[in-house]
Amino acid sequence: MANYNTIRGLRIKYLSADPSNPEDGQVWYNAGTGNLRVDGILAPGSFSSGGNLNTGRYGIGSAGTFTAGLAIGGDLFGSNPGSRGSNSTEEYNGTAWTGGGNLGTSGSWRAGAGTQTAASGTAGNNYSSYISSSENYNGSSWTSSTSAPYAAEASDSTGSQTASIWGGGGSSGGATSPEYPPKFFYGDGEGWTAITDSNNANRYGSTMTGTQTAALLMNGAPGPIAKTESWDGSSWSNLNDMNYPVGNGGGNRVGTSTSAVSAGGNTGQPTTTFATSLWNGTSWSIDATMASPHVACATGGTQSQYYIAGSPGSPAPIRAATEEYTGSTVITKNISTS
Amino acid sequence: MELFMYGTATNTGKGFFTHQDRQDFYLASHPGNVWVIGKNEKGALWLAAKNGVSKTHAEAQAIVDAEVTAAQEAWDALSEEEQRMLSRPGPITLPYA
Repeated sequence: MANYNTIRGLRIKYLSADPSNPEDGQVWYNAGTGNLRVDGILAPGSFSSGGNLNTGRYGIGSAGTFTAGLAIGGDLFGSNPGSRGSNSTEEYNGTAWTGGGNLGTSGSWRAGAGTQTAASGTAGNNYSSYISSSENYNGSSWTSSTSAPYAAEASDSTGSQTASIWGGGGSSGGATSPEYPPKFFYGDGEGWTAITDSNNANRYGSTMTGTQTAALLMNGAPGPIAKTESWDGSSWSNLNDMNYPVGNGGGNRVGTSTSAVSAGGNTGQPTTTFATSLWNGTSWSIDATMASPHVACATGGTQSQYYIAGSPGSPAPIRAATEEYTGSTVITKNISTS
Repeated sequence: MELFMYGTATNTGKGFFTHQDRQDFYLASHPGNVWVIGKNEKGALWLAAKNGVSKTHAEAQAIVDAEVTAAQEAWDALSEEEQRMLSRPGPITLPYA
């Protein structure tokens, strides 16, 4: 029988502490702790709890990054009947949420873009009607900007405050017929310019990430649908579908058009999912499971580290919980029989 | 062999559950601060460390059912316009094995 030295060309060393730069597959005995140790074990990605939102809600607009995130407005259903639209903005630092400047117009389902200190919140719902009003954030306060081309809730946006792409969502029909239009526009923080329609409609509560000219648009409702498509600055291209249809999922402003995430959402009505998926630029793969089924939530970060915050719950009451994802990492582990 | 245990615990935010916890045992939250936990030593220690209260499957399911009923009644009281924004909460069946 081959022994470890033959297989790895290494002997199991008796050390007083872990080596500083162990090789993958290296095994040693740590006399200090009394453990047999091995390096190079791949630990899968997983979620841990993050700081709770100060105001639990869903239908939240997203902007920023993992350590400088922004949750924009939202729906207070369940905790505040009759006054559902929130004007609350909260800022995440990777540990805790703190209050930011309040939106000028309360509402939910705003499409967010940009950074924590230069964000936009476009269109939404103020519970009298769908709204087109848009606002820009400077890190402390919101100011009104040119309204979106049509009133819509759960529309989609990505990019920066001064170079965004926006569209989709649910409208009241009529001039923007169909009710779930495939229309998209460039925004520069001051106005809007129409671009080519996306290939697929039903982009209500879709997930969008990337930049104005390298964007990824995925899933959506009604349906829900599993359609994935990219925008390269001149045209839309259909890509491989997700492994399951979903709407109102998280993943907005997470990663890039070639390294994206879809997390949670509605896989039917009212069915929600704990599942997450990763996009590698070509195809989707199922990834870690969340501890709760976040829907229409705030997200931000990269494919290997992102947060997901808020949810209507499963069902209400609304939730303030945040989960933080860390992608797969190579670790050192004890070798044990238990 | 039973795969799950049940309890109630309030999510206090950062650190309430860790990446290591998620790799050590199954963990899923449900309405009413109900948690379904993989039934092993580490899962049991986690619930105790979080000042959780252990429940039977029937007790945990009853808490979830009450939350669902309350949420459905709240939804039913909404205007038609408001109901369009969120589907009526549906039943949740906790895993049992």
